[in-house]
Amino acid sequence: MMEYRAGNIGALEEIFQRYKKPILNYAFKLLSSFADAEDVVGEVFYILTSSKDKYEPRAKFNTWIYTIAHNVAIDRIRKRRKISFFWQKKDKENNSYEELDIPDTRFMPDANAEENDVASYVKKAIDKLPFQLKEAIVLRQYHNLTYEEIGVVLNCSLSKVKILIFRAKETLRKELWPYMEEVR
Amino acid sequence: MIFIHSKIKKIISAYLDNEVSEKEKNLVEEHLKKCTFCRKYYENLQRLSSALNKYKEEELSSDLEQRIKNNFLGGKYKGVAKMKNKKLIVGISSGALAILLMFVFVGHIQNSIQKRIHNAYLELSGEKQYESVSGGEEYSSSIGDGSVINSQYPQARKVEKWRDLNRSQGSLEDSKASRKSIYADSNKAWMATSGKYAAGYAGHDYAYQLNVPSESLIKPSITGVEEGPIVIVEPYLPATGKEDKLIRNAYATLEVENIQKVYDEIVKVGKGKNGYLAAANFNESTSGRVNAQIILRVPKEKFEETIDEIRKLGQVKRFDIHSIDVSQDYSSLVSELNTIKTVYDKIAEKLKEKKTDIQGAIRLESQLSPIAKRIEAIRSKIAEYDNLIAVSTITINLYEVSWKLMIQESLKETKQRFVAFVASLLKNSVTLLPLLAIVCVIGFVCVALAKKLISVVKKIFTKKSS
Repeated sequence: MMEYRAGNIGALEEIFQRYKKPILNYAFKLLSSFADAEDVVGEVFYILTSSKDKYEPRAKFNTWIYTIAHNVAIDRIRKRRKISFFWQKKDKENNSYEELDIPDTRFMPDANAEENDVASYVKKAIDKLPFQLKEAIVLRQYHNLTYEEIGVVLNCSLSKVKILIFRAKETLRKELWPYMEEVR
Repeated sequence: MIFIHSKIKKIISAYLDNEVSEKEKNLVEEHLKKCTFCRKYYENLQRLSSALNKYKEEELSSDLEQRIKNNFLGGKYKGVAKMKNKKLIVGISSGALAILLMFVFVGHIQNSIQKRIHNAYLELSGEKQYESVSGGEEYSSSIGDGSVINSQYPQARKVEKWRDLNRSQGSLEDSKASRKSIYADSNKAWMATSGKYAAGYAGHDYAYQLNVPSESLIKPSITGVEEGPIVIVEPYLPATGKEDKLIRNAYATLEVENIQKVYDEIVKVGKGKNGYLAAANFNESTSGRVNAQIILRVPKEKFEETIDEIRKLGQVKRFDIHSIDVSQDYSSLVSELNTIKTVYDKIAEKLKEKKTDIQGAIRLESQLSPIAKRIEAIRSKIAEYDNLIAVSTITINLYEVSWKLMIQESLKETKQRFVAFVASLLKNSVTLLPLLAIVCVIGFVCVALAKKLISVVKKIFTKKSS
């Protein structure tokens, strides 16, 4: 990032190649919509380029970029809420926007998806998680961020991160126990 | 024990993630050796972790990747800006559309109200079909020597009345047909009288000009309009020479610095030209502005000189000279006077001769007295004309320049206008309030729809590409 700030466009290319996939998956898991996730990627890199001067070298770069993605995703969810005000009554219990979003059929269980069965249940279980728990477990499980880094991204204390991840694991464990035997 | 287990569980979760201190690590490892329940839990979490890892990674669609690369690797990312622009464009255009619709709607309402009022007026006024009404057709024909035939027709809307008017023409379906028939008739006239024909078009009114020799003035050759009202307007004849009987008047408005001084000057000028002051009045308005009106009469020979001198006395704000040609009137009065005088002389002679009896004399006397009265009237009229012709009238309006007053007045005017503006704004906004509310709702829905549409289209596209 420092190289990019110094004017090296190639450094930016490297950042993009390294982070495009993680950011996309992070956003997809949070928002459950591929289109939105792609938008988030675009927006994250836009913010990255437009606010390169705000980057402080003492912060770790991956926490910085995940923080941007986190903020953009939250922004998306707020916008969705505004639109859903027009189009449907929000399901208060599980915060779902299924009526609003076009269902993502890629993870629907279908004939050739025996292999994907576990994956689809995992997705469903993660989708059901409350937003903060979801974020914490996703960052830990899929992006290998340390608890401390997660604390920076979510702007909370280390102990809170611990609790969030513990709760997320507990919920997922209860949700996924019938399928866990298959694994090993 | 349960309490310890629940505490240990939290630490096990962190232990799996390598997020424990050395002390906690030892604690967990010790505990796992002893407790089967917690070992099971530990294994469960391990399984969970591997289950979660089944979740497949997603790939960025290649076109989006390319787009992002193109846009932001060149130094700036246009995609989001574009999207923002799109939103802005959608917002602005829907707003503009709403405003346009509002204007059209309001304009339509106003128009229909005006039409209704106008129609009501036409119906109430009944027989006024020949009056010139705005939007109606107007034809005028001009005759070669300067005389003009003006024929005014009712509005095109009043087709029935047109039909009545043009019975001789046969069927006239609409005003267009009438126009054509007039055109044809004018052509006939042109052919019949070998005059000149010219037609002009301006806006939605047609004007037809027909130039024909003067002898055809007696009966206009436009057959289709014979039943219509034909007004023969006397031509304006410019003065041709000294023999003309012209009454000349001038009106001037001057802005002066010192009204009293200028007044004295004017009187002096008038006297210098053998004229006199016919009337003068001063008046001070409530705002403190002094105005004066002076009517000066000077012999016609000194008219121009006087005017030239007066114009030098202040800043001329308005100036008119009118000449009224009374030659025709004058000569007809003179000839009438001569004729009547001859008759009078004859009767008077008969009376002098005393050839009639008393009854005859009385009869003659009674005939004589109205003639004598008429002679007096004509003489006085001629004397009046003589006076008016010999002495011209100059009316001068004066007002004083006062900066203070001017500023005061302009401020007052501005205030009045502002108040009127605010009042009309309030009035309009109150009447338009329900409409505005409807427009707002429509605009709101439009924007929401547009947003929804964009997101749906985007989703479809991304689906296709992925």
